[in-house]
Amino acid sequence: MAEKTIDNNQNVENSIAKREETREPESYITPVTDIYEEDKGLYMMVDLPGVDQDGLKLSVEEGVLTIEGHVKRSDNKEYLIREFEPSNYYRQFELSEAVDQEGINAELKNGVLNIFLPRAKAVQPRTIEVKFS
Amino acid sequence: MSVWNFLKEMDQLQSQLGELSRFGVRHGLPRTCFLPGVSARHFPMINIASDDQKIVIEALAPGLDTDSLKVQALNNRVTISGEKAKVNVDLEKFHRNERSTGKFSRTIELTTQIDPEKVTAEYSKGILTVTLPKAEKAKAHNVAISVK
Repeated sequence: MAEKTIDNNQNVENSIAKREETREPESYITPVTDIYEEDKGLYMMVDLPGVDQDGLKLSVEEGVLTIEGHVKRSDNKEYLIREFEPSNYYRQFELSEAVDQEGINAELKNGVLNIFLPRAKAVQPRTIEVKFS
Repeated sequence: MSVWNFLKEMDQLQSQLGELSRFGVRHGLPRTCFLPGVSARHFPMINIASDDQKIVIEALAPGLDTDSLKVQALNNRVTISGEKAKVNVDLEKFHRNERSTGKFSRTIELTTQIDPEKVTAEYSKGILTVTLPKAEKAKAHNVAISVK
């Protein structure tokens, strides 16, 4: 499974547009992902801590699986130590044709998104009838 | 957390380098580039916030076993421990293996005394929030000033 990243030019436009709208530009990070393959299909586990049901967007378009997670920023607290910042997540994967795109299902639990990508049923051999005239 | 595995670390470095080549220099490196090795990562990462009444610790810990999660509080010390469940799958079946798993423990020493009896902890959306109310004697008191 190949990974697809956002087109550079497109990204520049987005970031400029966003900078005008908001006070601070939105930052995106690539979430860490495990992918393993079983007989039935592919299983993915994506760490998205801080993302809730409303902030998660999962889509398949033209064979590309897009995972997008938005995190609500909490009010400004006085931090003594800050090792992480709530940031949004974005990652794309190109799906192979062996994946049945209709059958994909996903579950978000404890900040981990579990996605199941079932294997497409093998293309049935087809005999073509020939008409005689 | 995990046991150090040379081949796995090299494999990950290679895929990170491959990812890097797809990015333009203009935008800087993607945030997951050059992650420390799986076994060397700080886990969990924490934020500590404080106000007059309490100290709040947020720990970024997605996918924990809720049964194994443990928070222990002493006068000025908090220990968070638990386990991130391992997936029982052969390594050969993995296309990508970036998440680390295993047991962890992290102790945080605080500069103020807390009241261990009133500590509360909540785990939601992969973030553990521990609220530690300050001990009475550590709270700030207003002193009345008499003007003559």
